[in-house]
Amino acid sequence: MIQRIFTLSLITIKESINKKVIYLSIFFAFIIILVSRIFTSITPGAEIAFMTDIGLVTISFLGGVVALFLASDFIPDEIRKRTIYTVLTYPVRRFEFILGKFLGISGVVLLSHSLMSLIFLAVLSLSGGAVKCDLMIALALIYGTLLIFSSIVIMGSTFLSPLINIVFSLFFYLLGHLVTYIRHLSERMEDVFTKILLIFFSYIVPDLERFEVKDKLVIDSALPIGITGDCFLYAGVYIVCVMMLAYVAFNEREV
Amino acid sequence: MPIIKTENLTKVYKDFWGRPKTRALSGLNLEIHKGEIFGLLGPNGSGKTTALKLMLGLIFPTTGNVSVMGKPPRDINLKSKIGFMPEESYLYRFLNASETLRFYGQLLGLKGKELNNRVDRVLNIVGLDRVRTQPLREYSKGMSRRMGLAQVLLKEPEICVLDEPTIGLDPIGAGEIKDIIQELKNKGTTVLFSTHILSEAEPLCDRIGILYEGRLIAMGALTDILEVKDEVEVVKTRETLEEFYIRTIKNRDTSHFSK
Repeated sequence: MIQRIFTLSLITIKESINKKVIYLSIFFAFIIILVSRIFTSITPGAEIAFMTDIGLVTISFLGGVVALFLASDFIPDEIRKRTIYTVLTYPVRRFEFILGKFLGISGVVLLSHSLMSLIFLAVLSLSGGAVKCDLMIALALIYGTLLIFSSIVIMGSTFLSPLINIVFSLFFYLLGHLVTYIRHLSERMEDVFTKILLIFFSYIVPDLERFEVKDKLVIDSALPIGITGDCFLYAGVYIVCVMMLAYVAFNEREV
Repeated sequence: MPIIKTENLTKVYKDFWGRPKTRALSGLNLEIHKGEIFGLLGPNGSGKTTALKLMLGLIFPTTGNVSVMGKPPRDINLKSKIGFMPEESYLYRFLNASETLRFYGQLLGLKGKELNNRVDRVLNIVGLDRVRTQPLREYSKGMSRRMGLAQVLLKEPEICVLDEPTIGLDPIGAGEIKDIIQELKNKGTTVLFSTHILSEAEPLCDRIGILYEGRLIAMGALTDILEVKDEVEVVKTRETLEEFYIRTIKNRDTSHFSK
């Protein structure tokens, strides 16, 4: 089983390497991070904070673009090109197929994330900024959100068309950054049905706010101890749940 | 015991809202026996591919049952015993022949020397050994079909399901594929293939079934069904498969219109 999952993730990585979205994202990350260095003059005295802010937002956004465009099309593409016919007539369980795809995409996202992070850290160092442990944690947490996001997109791709999946996944991603707001809103609601609905929704969408440490870094405040462990534990549990849902949807799908 | 058995197998494709759209297959009762070559014949759109996909567990029946070696077609243990060559060779075009077979071999759980030996042997059989490092996107249609067959042979399967195996091939390429099919039979492999090219089926098949508008309208051993008998059941002449096919479908159409 492990060999099959590994083989499927490897073929996903090989196929992704040919996709232009990865190279474009890395190129744009390079440009934006470089340009941010030029514009540090608009924030005198806080140049490094400005660069950190722009760098982390860029890496997070472009990493999301890579995850979205790769993951939203992989399973539909296998069905459209019918390569799935041959694969599923081999001793491959459908959950192995989904898991292989997820791990492959996670690998590609990690690769592009690492390259963008390296560019960012290099430019930051050249500008006199220190590469602190907290900054590395922030980058790791961004990867955590990208993993969650990829799993949602893959789940959507098992039953939605790529375009609808992109909308669906972005909706989840955006709401994931508004979990606290949704919970506050539910407390203010008088209508019981709406209240329950909002509470339910706040637990369904991923709590991406807990991964959000950029503001703390910018004001040079220390990150809470154990945040990485907490966040990755949360990400792990959330991804397992999403993958199970993806399996349920894909298992009943005709190809 | 039949190696593949369908009972009243029906497939209705539905639209987005779950309403019936197309009845692709209606009440198919079929038994395929171990070691035979069974040809599933019929014009385009008659339900041949749907029947094969149901037997492979790629799609699910609306009603009825299908069993392969006595098990449901999605049984994971069955999958290494059944080779499937789709209508077109749907393979990863960015890989070369060697990488493709290694990929499928790894899905079978093969590794090391065993994997290498089997890849080499299969590439030799299908005659792609010399172009093994060329990406599949650069292959001609004939080479792609051979590659499709290679991934079937890699499994050393007990059952081969081939969907229009020679479609789009030149006479030499088609002849080579027919030779491989015959060789599979000689080794005891059961071969089920669909085609609408009758000249292909006649020399190869032990038995045939004709599908028309999703229904099985004729089935039997070629030697039996091609014999034309008189009223007292004395053999008078022998039809060609083409004559039998046209007569059967025309009869079907006449009875259909008279209703």
